[in-house]
Order: sequence, then C-alpha cells, then structure tokens
Amino acid sequence: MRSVNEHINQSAQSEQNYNFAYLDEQTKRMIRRAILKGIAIPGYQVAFQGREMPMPYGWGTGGIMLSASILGPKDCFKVIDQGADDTTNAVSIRQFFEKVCDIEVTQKTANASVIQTRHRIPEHSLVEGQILVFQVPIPEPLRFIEPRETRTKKMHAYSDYGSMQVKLYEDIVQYGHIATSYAYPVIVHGRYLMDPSPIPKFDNPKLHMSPALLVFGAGREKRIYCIPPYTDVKSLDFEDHPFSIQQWDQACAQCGSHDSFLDEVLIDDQGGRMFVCSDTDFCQQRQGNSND
Amino acid sequence: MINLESNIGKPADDEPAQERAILKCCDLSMLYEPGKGFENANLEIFSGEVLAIVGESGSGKSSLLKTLSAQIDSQHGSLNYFPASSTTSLNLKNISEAKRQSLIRSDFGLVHQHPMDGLRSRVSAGGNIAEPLMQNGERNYEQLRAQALHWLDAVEIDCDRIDDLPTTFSGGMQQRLQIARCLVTQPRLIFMDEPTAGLDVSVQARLLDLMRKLVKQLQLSVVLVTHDLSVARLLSDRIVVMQKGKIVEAGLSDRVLDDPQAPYTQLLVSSVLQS
Amino acid sequence: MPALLIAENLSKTFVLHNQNIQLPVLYQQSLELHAGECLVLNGPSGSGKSSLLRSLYGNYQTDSGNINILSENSYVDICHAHPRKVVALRRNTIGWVSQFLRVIPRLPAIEVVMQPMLESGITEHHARDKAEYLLNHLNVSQRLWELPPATFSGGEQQRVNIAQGFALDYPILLLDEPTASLDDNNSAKVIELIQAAKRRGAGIVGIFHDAWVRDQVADRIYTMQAITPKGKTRDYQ
Repeated sequence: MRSVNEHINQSAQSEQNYNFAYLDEQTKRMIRRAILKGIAIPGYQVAFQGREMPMPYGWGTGGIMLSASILGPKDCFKVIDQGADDTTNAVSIRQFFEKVCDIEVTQKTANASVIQTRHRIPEHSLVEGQILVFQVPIPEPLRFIEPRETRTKKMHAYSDYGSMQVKLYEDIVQYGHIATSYAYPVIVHGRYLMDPSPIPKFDNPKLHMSPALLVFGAGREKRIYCIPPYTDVKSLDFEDHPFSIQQWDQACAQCGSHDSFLDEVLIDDQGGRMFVCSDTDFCQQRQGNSND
Repeated sequence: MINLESNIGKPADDEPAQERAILKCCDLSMLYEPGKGFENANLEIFSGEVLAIVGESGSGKSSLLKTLSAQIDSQHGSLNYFPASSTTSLNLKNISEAKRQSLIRSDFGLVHQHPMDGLRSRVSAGGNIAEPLMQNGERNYEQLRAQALHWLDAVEIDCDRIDDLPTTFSGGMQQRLQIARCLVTQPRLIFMDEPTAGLDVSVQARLLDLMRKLVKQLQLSVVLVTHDLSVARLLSDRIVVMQKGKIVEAGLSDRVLDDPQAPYTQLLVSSVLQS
Repeated sequence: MPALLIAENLSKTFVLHNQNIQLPVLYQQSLELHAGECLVLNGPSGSGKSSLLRSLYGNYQTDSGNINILSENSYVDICHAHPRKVVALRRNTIGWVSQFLRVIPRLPAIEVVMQPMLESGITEHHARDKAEYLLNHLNVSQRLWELPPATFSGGEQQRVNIAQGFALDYPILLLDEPTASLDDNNSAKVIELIQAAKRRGAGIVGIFHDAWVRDQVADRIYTMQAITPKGKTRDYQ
C-alpha cells in the first residue's frame, strides 16, 4: 500500500506534473466542504466554485469535479453513460481518471467504490460505502416553471412546491397520465424538491433509502446536492394518479431480464428492432460474461 | 349667523366602529424618497366590505396596497392582521418571512392590474386555477379538476376552455381567470390593483358586475386600488382618497363622491366625465 | 312610541375649495319623524329639501347637528357614526328611493329589485316573488324583467328603482321625488305603495314635486326657506 504522498509524487512524475486527480488540493477541499454541506441538508443545492476542466460543459464536468474531489488512491472507479461503460463519454472520463489518478478502474458495479454516471443508476443494487456521482445538466427542478433564480430560491426556502405539481397536472391534462419520464422531480427527506438529473423515472425508486451515498454535480451552474445513505426520497404524484415506472412487454433480447431498463435498438433497414438492457454490465453478468 | 368655519372637513368616521377589523394600520409610512410612497396612513378594513383607495397616479395608492398586503415593508407605524382563527392580532411588521408567506397563501388574495402578472403563461387555465390549491397541499387530480371547473364557471369562462393556455384568452377573460385563481383558496382579504384598467368599457362592465356579485356572494373583504371613481362607486362601501402620499379624505363611498370635503377630492370628483 | 328619527339643529354649508365659494344650504333645521306618518319637505327650489333628505341618509355630511335614528331600540347618530354603522343602518333601517337609477351593468331588472332583499338574507324564492309583485304593481312590462334596465326609458328605469326601494320593509323610507316624470296612473301606483308602507308603520320623509301626490300622502308638511344668499363670499381662505 502506497501513501498518498508517494502516490502523488509518482503520478506527478509520470503524468506531466498534474496533481493527483487533476484538481489542486485547495479546490478539492472546497468541493468536499460543499459536498459535506449537501449531505447535511439533503436535496439542497450548494453553490461551489467550479473550475475549468479539460473538456466542455455538458460533457460531465460537474461529475468529474466531484469525482476528482472524492477519489483516493485506493478507490476503484466505474463510469457509465446511458448505462453503458463503453460509450465515448464513459470511456474518455474513465481514461482521464486512470491517467490523472493512476487508480484502479472497473466496469463491474459491485467492484466499484465510486461510480460516475450519466442518465442511469446501475441495475445491480448498490451497497453501503459506495458513492454514486451524477452528472447534472440543470440542477434547478423549478427552472422551467419559474425562470428567476431569485424566485426559485425563495420557493425552496418556503417549500413552495405547488407549481412543480402543476407540471404533473399539465401532463395529465395533455396525455392522460403523468408523462414526465426522466428527470422526474422528487422530494428529499420530506423537505427539498430535487431534480434527480436526467435518469429515467424507472430509477427513481432506487434513490429511496439507498445504502450508497448519492452526490450530484452541475458543472455549468456550479451546484452540488446530495442524498445521504438511507434517506427518504419521494417522487411527486397525485393520489389518483400515483407514481409509476416504465414497463416493457419484452424481456431483454440478450439476457432475458424482465425487470431491467430496456433500450430499443434498431437492427436493420427493414424496421427490425430489439430491446436490450441499457445497463451493459448487468446484462453481461447475466449472460455469464466478465469484462474485467 | 352661520358659523362657516365650524367642522369643515371633519371626518365622518370619528366614532370607532363596534366590530373588530380584519386589517388595521396606524401611522403607517413608506417613503422611497420625499413625496414618493405614502405616509401616516390610518386604516381599518372590516369583514365583508370593499374599501376603495382612489387618487391619481403617483399618489401612493399602489404602494399603500403593496404594504397592506404584506408584499413590501414599511418604515414607520403599525400594521396588524386579525386572523379568523385567533383572538390575538398578528403584527405584519415583524412577522417571520415563512409565516408571512403562509399567511399570504392562506388568507390573502392578490389581483394584479395586468392579468399575466398573476398567471402562468405556459400553464393551462385549469392548471392556473388549481396551482394555489396544490400549493396548499391538495394532491387529488379529480378534486383539482372539479375545483377548476367550478371557479371557471363562477367567473363565467366556458368550461371547455379549461385546458387552453391563458395566452389564447382575451384580456377580459384573462382578468377573470386571474380572479378565479385568486378566489380558489377562499381568501379572507383580497387586494386588487386597478383590476379593470386597460380593459374595453363593455368588458369592464362585465368584470365589475362579476366582481360585485362575487364580493356579495362570498362575503369577501376587498381593498381595491383604482383611479376610476365610477368603479369605486359601484363596488366599494368606503373610499379613501389619497393625494401626494397622504390620505386626504375617507368615508362612506357615496358621501365622499356626492359631498366631497377635501379640496383635492372636490377636484377629482368634478373632473369625472358624466355619461 | 319613540320617534323613528330625530334631527336637531342641522346646518350645512358647501365649501367649494377650488372655486373659493361657500354655499350655505341648511341652517338649524330640526325635525322628528314618527311611525306611520309621512312628512313632506316643502319649499321652493334651492331651499335645501334635497340636501336635508340626503343628510338624513348620511349621503351628505352636515357641519353641525345630529340625526338620531332609531335602530334596535337605541338611537344612532348618523352624522357621527362610523361608516360601517351607516352601512348597517342602510341595510336594515333606512331605505332610499330617488328618481335616478344607478344602473349596475348587465343586471336584469328583476335582479336589481331582488338585490337588497338577497343582501339582507331573504331567500331567492321569496325575493323573486316580491320583486315580481312590485314590478307588476308598477306596470313594468314582464318582457323587460330579464333585461338590464340601462336601455329602458326614463319612466321604466324610475319604476324599477321604486320597486327596488320598496322591496324591503324599512322602518324609515326617504323618497326623493319618486313620482317625478311618471304619468298620473303610475304615480297613483306609487301612492298606493306609500300608503301601504304607512299602514305597516313605516315613517316616510319625502319630497314630492306634484301637489296632488303631496296632498294624498302628506300627514305633515315641513316647510323650508332658502337661506339668504351669502354665497360667493370671497373672504374664505
């Protein structure tokens, strides 16, 4: 086992004198403080001082800054994008941290201690000690109802969330059911309204009483918010239109799973299609394959 | 001989009323700069009455309304609200922000001059009416629909329009929709700022008639700011006349309009076009 | 029986600040009104009849004097009562019938008449019955009932207004030339209403333009004189 200093020295030598995990130590401490504050006030958006990252906003800079502040030399890191470990964004972020941290990486959910994610929560149940880092494009769930930040801050302060319910009301008016299917708003710990990032509402139940720590980072807007382990998370709904998750008639064409989130994939020019798990690791585990 | 100087301009309401006010302010002042805002306002609003605040633009009537409705703070004086459920009054001047918000949400209603200031443009008419109920915790969709339909009907908007956006409504309909949204929580006290200004005369008449009907039916207390004396005459029980930030005359509406005492009120009344 | 209304030493001067004019209209007027009688204010035009009547209703503010009105076994001085109290007196105690209808836009004639009854808590059913009776009595054609009176002729509007004024059985009724511009036939109908009100014990103070109407309804005449013109005094600052 190497000490942090040794590790830092070594990686600094090997990687053109970058600090461990790219960010300088003061920045990481500042972000950790914001995370701690976020954990202390579940669902509350904590402002932090974002840094320029070597990639554009929208590519997951918020998540990367959080991961960089959380990761230590002993961590095992996994990155998923739309549930897959092998998409461009996931691969480049994983490689980035391999390069600037020289840490172990994995595609297996069970092996990872820190998982950075975009658009999904892994199917494999998370356990205590794991941290899930979400990349968040727009942290403010009230944004589309009330564009003024001065107002939304007050709305949060006074739990003035009736207008969020209006969005769901409008859904039923238009579609006959609550059609919001991703970034489905939740109330955290009975207090703050929170945008769970653009995960499908299929994943919302996994937020509730999660044994893992869930941290959310928005790079462009420089906001961090958290759901500590075992926190009550309730998806908004109506008594007579209760919250429900997506369901499919098909099973996964590759692993036969009936209870995972499925992507529809076109397979030829004749309109042929199949449904497969969006979580590649989960699917391959079920097929008996191993990526590592 | 006649004593010409005696009692000129003496207010008619020098005897206190027996009943308890809903809202009361004493020596209330809010001056943004000298001559801007209002000063030393003394007012009481009682249950089931319509109080009109009249005066020309810049007389401070809108500032007074904003202060009375706890939207903006005041510099001097006291402002007390008497909740229906309690025997003690609530000092609106040093109330916590959270309590102020919840009071505004449960007991007060605001009707803005421009209807879209009080409506959400990207939310259907029904959603606009139902929102205050959702704010107060109602979570049953069918209930919300039923309430929205009820209030659309009450303000004479065709129920078929429930799912249309307010931006597709005419100005008069928008104003009626705003009133429906305001009434749905059944507030005790409603503040209206020039609700009929900017509407066609025929639309105005319909709105006035509707407001008069609702005020009587629901036993509402209303503070109404208007520069239109005929609106004040039609709707209000009492009138307060403001000039340059000060209340220059107050009293029974028809008394103020038919026998104005203050020079400014006389000028105001004599300036009205007779139809 | 105590008097329904006792007015003492009423004086009033209009002060028109912007024109720098003072117009004295009432000086030391006193009168009493008892149940079941009709007191007619009489005098030349400009003698202050209308101002006195309006003062009795609280519509004009007197400079001095009291108007005590019997309400629930005690007297309320309408000159110095809180406006809320005046509103209450007008709801239950004093009725006003003028020759001019303050038209409420869009409200059908029948509802105009029902209005004061509904506001005092009479059921819609009873209010409608009485309104129909009054409109019939005053020869307001049934086809007009559901129309707003804004478009009616002057005489029709006036009769709707009289129907409204007589809708509630106020203990005190103030009538400001109710028969002006009505033909004899309709004036007679109004006289019937006044006589009926007297029979049920109402006290009435009225101004009547037509001598024959006045002679039919008056129990007492209160004669008024114009105050020696002192107006256009320029000494008021």
